[in-house]
Amino acid sequence: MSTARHHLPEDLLLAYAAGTCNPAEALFVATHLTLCPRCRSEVERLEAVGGEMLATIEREAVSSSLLEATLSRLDEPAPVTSAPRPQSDGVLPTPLLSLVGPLEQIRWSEKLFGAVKYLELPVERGGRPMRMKRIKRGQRIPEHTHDERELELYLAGGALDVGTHKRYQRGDVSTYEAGERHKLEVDADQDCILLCLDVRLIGTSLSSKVVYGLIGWD
Amino acid sequence: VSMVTDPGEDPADEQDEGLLLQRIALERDRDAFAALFKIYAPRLKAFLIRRGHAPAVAEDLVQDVMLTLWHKAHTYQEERGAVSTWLFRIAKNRGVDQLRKQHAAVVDPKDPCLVWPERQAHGDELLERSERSHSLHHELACLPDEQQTVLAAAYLEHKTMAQIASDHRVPMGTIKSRIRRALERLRSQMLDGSSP
Repeated sequence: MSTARHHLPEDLLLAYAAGTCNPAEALFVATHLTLCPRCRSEVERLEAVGGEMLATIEREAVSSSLLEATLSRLDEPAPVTSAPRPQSDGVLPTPLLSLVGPLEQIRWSEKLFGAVKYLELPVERGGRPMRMKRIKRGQRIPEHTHDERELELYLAGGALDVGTHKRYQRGDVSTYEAGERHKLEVDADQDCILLCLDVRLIGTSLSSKVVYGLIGWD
Repeated sequence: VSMVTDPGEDPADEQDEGLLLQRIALERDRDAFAALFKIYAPRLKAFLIRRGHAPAVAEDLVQDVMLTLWHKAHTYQEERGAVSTWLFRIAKNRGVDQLRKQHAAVVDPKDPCLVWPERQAHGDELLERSERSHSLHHELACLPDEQQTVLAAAYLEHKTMAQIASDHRVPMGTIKSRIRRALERLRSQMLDGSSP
């Protein structure tokens, strides 16, 4: 399998490595990292800086009893430190799969014409639920922009940015800065599944605003 | 109520931490555990306090992290970084779990979806990486103050770039470029990944 060609922005990589992401960002990053060895190794480099910070930090004395107390607990059974791994569906990486279940069992909410379907995730960002989108194969997304940076991770299917000719496929992250106009064509061979760091969308023309209203894009 | 003592002499310098961890993994060696505890418990506590945990909570978390070290010692891979990096990874995730009462989103190393690099690193490259990581320490200390400050804010004080920018009353772009310059300087010293 080919690896991702469009990667995470550096500020998100740093925030993830430093542990300062909000839950939605952390989910987005961990899902991409599963599919992208390059960003994984970048996060490891950034974590090495964190390790060095830990090694050189000015130490804070611990209670004299803490070592004894900790030694006395070594024989306890290992605590459960991670959620149980769900049965893989071969498409959704574990961080996402453990929240939404296997892809084929997702109950998408459909808008008027069903060109774009949604799933709201139990993770909020800025008071709104994070979402997955399923866009019908061959669908054209008219030109639009957003009022903050838009990040979408391609999990299945693909799309072409008609303006820049960038092609997005599984593992790729599309990044559009606030106000950056773009329009897309979803590949004709299969539906496109996206994980979105969701932002409010603004159509750039009256007709596209009408179209968005109809397909229920936002 | 137990006494909080002076952290005392730093036992870090003369120990081979990787070897101590190996003795825990292979022989369940409690002396090796105590040695690593003495090196890292005061550092972890300081780290967790700077991340905003109360001292008592920080000690509970230190105990958690050290117990994780005991149970997961066999999963440590030297080629993925120093012992301090491994502990940093555990501590930040544990801190996040504790604040949010939910598990941090992390990559599952046994995920069938995991995509591997097209070209695996060779053994000699791995060795070189581990040697290079030793000079990271020196390079970090040599960064200009303003770069050290922003890195400390990002890693230790649990701040986003936007928060750091507002604390320092400078534009976000300035903070981004300070961090970028710092990381570029460290990059040559850091674990070199498999990307070309």
